[in-house]
Amino acid sequence: MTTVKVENLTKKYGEIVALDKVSFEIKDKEYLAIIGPSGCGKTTLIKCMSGIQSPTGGDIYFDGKPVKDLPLEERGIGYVFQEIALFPHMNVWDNVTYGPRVKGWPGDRAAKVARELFELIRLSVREREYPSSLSGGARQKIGIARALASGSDLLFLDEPLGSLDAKVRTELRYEIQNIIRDLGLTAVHITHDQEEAMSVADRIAVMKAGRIVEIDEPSKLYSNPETLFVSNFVGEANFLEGIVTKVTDDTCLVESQGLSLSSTEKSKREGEKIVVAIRPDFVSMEKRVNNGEGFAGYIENQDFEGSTIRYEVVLKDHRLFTIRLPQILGGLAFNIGDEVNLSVKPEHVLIYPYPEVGVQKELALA
Amino acid sequence: MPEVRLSEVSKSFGRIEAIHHFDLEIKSGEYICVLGPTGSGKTTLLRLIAGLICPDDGKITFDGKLVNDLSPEERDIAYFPQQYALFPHLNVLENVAFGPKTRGVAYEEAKTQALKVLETVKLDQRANAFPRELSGGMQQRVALARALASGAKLLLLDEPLGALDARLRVELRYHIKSLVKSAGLTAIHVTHDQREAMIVADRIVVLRMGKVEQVGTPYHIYQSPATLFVANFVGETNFLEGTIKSVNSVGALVELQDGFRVKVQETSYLSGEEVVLAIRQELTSLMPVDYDGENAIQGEVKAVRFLGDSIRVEVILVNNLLISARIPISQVKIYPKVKDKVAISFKPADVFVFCTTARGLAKEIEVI
Amino acid sequence: MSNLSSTKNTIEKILRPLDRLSANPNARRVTYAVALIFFVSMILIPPIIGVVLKWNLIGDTLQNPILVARAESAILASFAIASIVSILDLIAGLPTAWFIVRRKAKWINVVDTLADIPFVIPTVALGFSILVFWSQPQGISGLLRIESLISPGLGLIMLLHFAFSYPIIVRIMVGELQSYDQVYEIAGRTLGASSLTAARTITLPILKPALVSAFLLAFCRSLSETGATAVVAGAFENGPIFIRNALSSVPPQQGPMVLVSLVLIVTSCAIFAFISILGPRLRFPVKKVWPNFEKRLSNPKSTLGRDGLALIVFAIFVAIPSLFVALPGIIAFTDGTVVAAFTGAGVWGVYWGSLLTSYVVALAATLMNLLVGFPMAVIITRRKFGTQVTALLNALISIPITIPSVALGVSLSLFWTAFGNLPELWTLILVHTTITYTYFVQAMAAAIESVPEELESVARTLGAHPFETFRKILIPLTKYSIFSGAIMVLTRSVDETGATTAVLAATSQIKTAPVLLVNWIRNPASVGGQSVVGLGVLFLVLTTFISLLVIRLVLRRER
Repeated sequence: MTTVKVENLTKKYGEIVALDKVSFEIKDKEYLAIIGPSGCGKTTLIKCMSGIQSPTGGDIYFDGKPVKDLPLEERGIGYVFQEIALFPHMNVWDNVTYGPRVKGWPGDRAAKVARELFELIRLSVREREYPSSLSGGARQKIGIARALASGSDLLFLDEPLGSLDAKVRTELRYEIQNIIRDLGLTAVHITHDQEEAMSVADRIAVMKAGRIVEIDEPSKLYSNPETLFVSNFVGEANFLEGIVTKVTDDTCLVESQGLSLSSTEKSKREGEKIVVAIRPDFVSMEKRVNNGEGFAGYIENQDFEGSTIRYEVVLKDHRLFTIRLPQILGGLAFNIGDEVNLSVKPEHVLIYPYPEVGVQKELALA
Repeated sequence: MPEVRLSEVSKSFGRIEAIHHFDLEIKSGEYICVLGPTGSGKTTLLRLIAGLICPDDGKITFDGKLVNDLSPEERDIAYFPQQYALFPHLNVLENVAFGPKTRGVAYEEAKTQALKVLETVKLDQRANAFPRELSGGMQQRVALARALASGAKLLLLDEPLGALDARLRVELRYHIKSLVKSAGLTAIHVTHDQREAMIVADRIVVLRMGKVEQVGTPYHIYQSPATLFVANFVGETNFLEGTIKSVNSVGALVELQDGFRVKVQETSYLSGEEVVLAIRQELTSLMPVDYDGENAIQGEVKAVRFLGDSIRVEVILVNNLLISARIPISQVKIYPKVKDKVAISFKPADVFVFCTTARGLAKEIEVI
Repeated sequence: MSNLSSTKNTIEKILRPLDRLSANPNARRVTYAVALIFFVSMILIPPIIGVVLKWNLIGDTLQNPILVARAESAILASFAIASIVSILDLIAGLPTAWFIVRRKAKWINVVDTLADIPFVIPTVALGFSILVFWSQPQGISGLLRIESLISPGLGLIMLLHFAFSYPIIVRIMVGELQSYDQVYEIAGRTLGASSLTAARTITLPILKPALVSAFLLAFCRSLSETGATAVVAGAFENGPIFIRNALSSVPPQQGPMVLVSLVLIVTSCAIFAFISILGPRLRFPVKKVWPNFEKRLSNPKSTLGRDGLALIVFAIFVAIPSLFVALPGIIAFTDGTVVAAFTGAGVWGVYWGSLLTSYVVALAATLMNLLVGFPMAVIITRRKFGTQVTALLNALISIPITIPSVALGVSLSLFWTAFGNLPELWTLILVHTTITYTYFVQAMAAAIESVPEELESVARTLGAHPFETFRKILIPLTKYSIFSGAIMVLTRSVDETGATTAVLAATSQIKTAPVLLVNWIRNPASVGGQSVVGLGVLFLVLTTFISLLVIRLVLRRER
């Protein structure tokens, strides 16, 4: 049983504010991912929560008990590092049993736990092997076993897959999540990879400039994000600038350079300057037979992505629009130069207030 | 514009054979991606072409001219190393102008050229900054500009997007390809990310342990993988082991472990042969538990994963195998729940059939 | 402005042919071969061959049991002192280094700077300072109102060696701890290890190679030191002092000198090789943990106690005794000695001459090293001859600092007299080149190592020839390190006494400043008293101090 509560957590380096009054809670057995572009403060957050760094202000509670002033080694956490950081001078077995050993457990108890963990991570390595002889993926599995060996219910994963190959990364992320779920652990996972976060987490916190801008379930964050920044950070989107022309009970109409779209978003006023975001996956496309109204254009580019095909369509007003079609839904049926009609369901037309700093700046990733 | 040809090229470091009898022909203006896991020899291959190391054996020619004995500065190539290796003592402009200057362009002229290239990567405003003052993304663009400004027609890119955040990496794939194409260069791009390779490449070379597994267009590699390794490394794939029970003119019947029988549209195997079936996860469909169409196997949902453009449903089959189905997000009406009873199914035409090898499936698809 | 750029262009034009020449692999091979040949023929072979040539002189000495017994105890004393002092230094220096790196307070910088004092002061001056502090009335003895708290002899030698080896350990460990990736230690602590447990079972075992090399360096320095030891030795003899005494007796006792030199050369090389091979196999006891006990030792109070103790040891045995070098010199300002010094009257003429000789020799040695040491550093860091040859070369270049310098001097002077019949000054320059070669090559290798090879690769692909890459990439990126390395070699050479004593006959007209000062300190009455000696020492300190100040300024600019 482990819950986490963070209250007004602040960290300053001189003048620079790395964490700005961050507050959130993690439920027992919940898997929380924290994402954001480099420099958003996610690393500082996990370091302050785990005790590797000390925050400038605010409080942290594990199971309702304040831990801010506890030294790192007494917080009873498991921590998995991006650098993996297996002790290079110890073999695999000694690495995994290090936690039990420094806690003074009797040898047979440590050995039993280690055996179970080796089984759990399903890795056929010899216990006397040294970390340097293992592949990156195998090393990180040992890193996880080491973190779990002293029986902590709270696991911090600090970019655990960051140093691995793309393919290993996707395979391992599912394996790690299964282990965490099966053992009933509470987990905090930091990553810059939004797909990784979505595929494993119960909830995701998106950070920007030292604050959490949104915290929600993955599907909600992807399909209906509350802010323009998040709509771009969690996945590709087409952005169109426009204004609200008409608001009714259940829809609102927007216009963008002669293009008229309807959305289920209700909170906007008529005449408001807005930005529309449409995910390439939620657009349907068909070959044009008639003259084509508004949302039409021709295919300028086609990229084969494997299970999906990505098209770039030039709209009538010369804007570029991206569409992604699954291969199984006839994604390969189009060719470059085809005249097409596009359509989007109103619930997939996302609308945001026009940002003060301008769209480019608001969406900047680095 | 150079045409690059490698024939029978080998290179060892001590006992480790990094590149083994490597053959490849690259047409002028082509964008080639060398795709493979860490340690497959990708970087070695690039350094061989750059002339930074010499092959033990074999020939490397540019436009038909043997370059084995040419030093890197005589090969007229542009090299983009991992981690960029920007010159820390030179500012952005001087970094980019380094190539033209050493090739004898006058100082002022070199600077003008450099500025022009910096404009194309939108960094002309930061010309006087030093590399350490720039963000990772900007440094990446400076390195690209430096390579482009050298005027070389052959561009060698070593994991050019590897050090960037995931989201930015996706953005820049398209950018890097259009830059290279509009400059009319021949490019060899090394990566371990199959999705990146699919987007940027005209042709992909899949490399494993110093040997070529397959060469072809992204479409070709994806739609007809030559080996089990490629089927696994490129795309997301389910594997099932079984034995051919019977073969006729339209296909074969395969018996899986625990007696399940599935149909495949493949006639080149003999009855009794042991095979591995590979099915793309997006071609594996999730059905109601009472579905009784072709190739349906019952099971229970183990996990449901949200991936943005799709969801991935992991199903434990009644014969205890784990199979995943990938459903496009636009097709998801109701989310399946863990422990739901379901069936999975796939079309006989969508199954790739491979021979079972002595090394076994796990070793065959292992990514090392 | 245009003048400057036209000069630049002219230089460019002169260097262009060299750039093109460097594209020829044979030209590069010749350059490296020359560096290698120089190393083997000038640095490696002479010290080994020299004593072997005079092998026949040993026979007579071996017949003399009294002499053999004396030599034996001197040699044993050398090794005993070096071992004990290096271990004590490791124990005392490690907490200080830890404290300098890990504590985050402004005043740590002061400790950091103070720890360098014994580095800044030439060893002869340090010997003088230690002598004054521990056993003369101006020092602590005066405070306690006794004549001499610790009189010259074994005890004082130990105190001296402890003081000059201390900064070596601290410097190396501070550097290592700064570049050490703390993530391993943090990983240990997330697993429940107290900070002491984590340090003992993770950090120190990972830093083992550095600990071994710090120990070895301190050990070799202690074994080698001659001048300052002569100042504080009194009637006691260790290896170098034995040789020094043999040299200065009239006529010089060549047999015993060659015997002890040979034994020292062989034994020190053997010990060096032994520890270098054995060190990596040494295992720290990482398995056993005493959680509660180590936790108690990790709490803030215990940590404060440990840091306090380390600082007290540092203050009493290193910092304060070293600072006494200035005291007698300051007295000289009050009694008019300064005026005599600047007019060059009496002994001062000889003094200024010796200082000039010191710097001429040092400059020449530095230049030689720049020419031939730099290519050698490139060979080593860029593995031009493969991994195995590189490892061998790396071990071989350590030989000049492994051998006690006076033994090296004896051997080299025998070699150069036998083969070159060179004038004394030339021999001296060659000897100093040998003595400083290791320092220079290792400093340059470290500097080149810090430049990623990929930078050179990129430059090559952008069209730069090897030599062009060298001068446009490698040199600009290492120029500060090259400069400070050169100055380090300069000061090390000025500081040198052991080998210099061996080269210069007692009756020689040529004297270097430290050699002259050893004589002055041992016999102050001959030059007009303590204040003359003190001032002489102070001037030498000032000249080195200026050089080292320049290094600091240069390195600061680099950051």
